[in-house]
Amino acid sequence: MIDNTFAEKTFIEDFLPQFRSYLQRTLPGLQRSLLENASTIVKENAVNIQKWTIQSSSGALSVADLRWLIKSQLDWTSLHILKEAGLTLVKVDEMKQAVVSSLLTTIFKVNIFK
Amino acid sequence: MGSMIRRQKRFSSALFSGTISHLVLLAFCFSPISCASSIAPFSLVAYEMAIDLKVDSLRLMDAAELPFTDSATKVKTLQIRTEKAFEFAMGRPKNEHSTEQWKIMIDSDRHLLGGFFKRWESESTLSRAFIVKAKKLVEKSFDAIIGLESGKIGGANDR
Repeated sequence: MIDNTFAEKTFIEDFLPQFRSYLQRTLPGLQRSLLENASTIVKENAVNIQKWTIQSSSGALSVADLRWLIKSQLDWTSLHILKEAGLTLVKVDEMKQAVVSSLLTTIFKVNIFK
Repeated sequence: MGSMIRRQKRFSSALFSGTISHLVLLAFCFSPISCASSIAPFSLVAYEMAIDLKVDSLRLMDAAELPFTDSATKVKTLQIRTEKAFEFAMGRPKNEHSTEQWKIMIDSDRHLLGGFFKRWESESTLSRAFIVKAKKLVEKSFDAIIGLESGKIGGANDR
């Protein structure tokens, strides 16, 4: 007969530290990069709009140019957000693969089919 | 024969007994069926299309100081190519983010490549100062499309 208590203990002892260490490695980096990205976009938008407003008042850009560029900046921001959202899904997929791989390794390690 | 039956019994006993069956069930839940990707994998065709279009679009935008009619044919050809890139993105499963990016990029009522060509056509010529700034934004927008494609599983960031 298989000793289930032993298998369960080994599984938990093997799998949980692997999974914990994976999350510890991944999550802080993900959070940091999301925050850095958001802050960079806000700063860049503010700097550009300020610069264009000065150029518009000096006559280098027309009011129509300025209006178009501000709207363009918003459209670029949408594309950037879509990129970040897509890359977050990629990270989720990588995380799922890591969990599957850890689970399978652990299950075969505890040798339940012996 | 007898040992095979014994082995099968042992397997069934392990498979369906208490915690072990839960582990097997958990592994099955994370199996490739339930672990289907949330987003399309990397496509070399989509990546190359985006790079080609970036280079050609930025070069054509530079001509906007001259009358639109001089470049109307080139603009039309480029617009067809960007529409093809959009259609290609739309045809790929789980590719909504890239599709939406292309949609914004080519929409003539928005303010990226499609909007730039519309403005050029309606104004006939555009100022150098405006072209330089618009080009920078269109360039960064192409980079966002390329960045998402290369970041997908199997892409440049995955090698």
